[in-house]
Amino acid sequence: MSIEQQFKKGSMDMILLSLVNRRKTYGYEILQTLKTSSNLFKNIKEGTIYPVLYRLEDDGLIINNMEIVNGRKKKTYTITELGRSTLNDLIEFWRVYKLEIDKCLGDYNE
Amino acid sequence: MSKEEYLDQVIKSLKVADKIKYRILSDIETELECLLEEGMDMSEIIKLKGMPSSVAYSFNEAYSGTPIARQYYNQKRYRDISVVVILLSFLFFIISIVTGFVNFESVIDGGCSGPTVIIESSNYVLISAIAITSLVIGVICLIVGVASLFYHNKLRSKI
Repeated sequence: MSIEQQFKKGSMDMILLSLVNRRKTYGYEILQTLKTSSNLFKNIKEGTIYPVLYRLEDDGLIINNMEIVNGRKKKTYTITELGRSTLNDLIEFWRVYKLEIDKCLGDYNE
Repeated sequence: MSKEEYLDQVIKSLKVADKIKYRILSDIETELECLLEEGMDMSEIIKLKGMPSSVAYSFNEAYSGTPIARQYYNQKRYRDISVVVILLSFLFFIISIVTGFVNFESVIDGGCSGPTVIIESSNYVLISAIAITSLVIGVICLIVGVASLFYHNKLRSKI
């Protein structure tokens, strides 16, 4: 795995939790939002996000529901209270982490 | 290709434990439903998402080397062993039938007396023992094989 892939993998939990936190959603919508909102994820595949969603679900951070919407069966994801507090912790960590890394990089110019 | 055929092929191409396969199935089905709702037909969806094998490949790659992938291979091995055990049971049934038939014929062809009777009787006992043992082993193998396959399928249907 490349360094870039490792960075993306490391932040995926936080990113997916934040997307599910916005509203009840389903995998396809998450995939489309990622593809359109950032160049980093324009080629993202199902195999990247769903295993993370399943792990978040197993950890109790999100839950899934099978619903009938407009006569079509759809699986939706909703964040839990534990998911919300974990998301807050992750975002706080990210902010501190980013500041500290930027300090280490100093005034590095390529 | 219909939606059901697409999903069926995705499931068949996945090399992950069954409990994950059925989670993936429900999510991919939701994706297809969303795209169908947007007015796409299956041929357009396949152009956009790719063939079922390439969708499955992205999951296989993500789970490669994890316990989830190892469970798949263990489940596959377990299924294969169950089938072999069932086939073995039929082999033992055949052995018991053949030895039973040989026994039957030797008894009919007996009609002797004196020392020959003793030899024929001891052969009879040996062959009967083989026939009965084969039958018992065959029954046990059949029960074990069918029960394990049933249990395995029950586990898959629970998900």
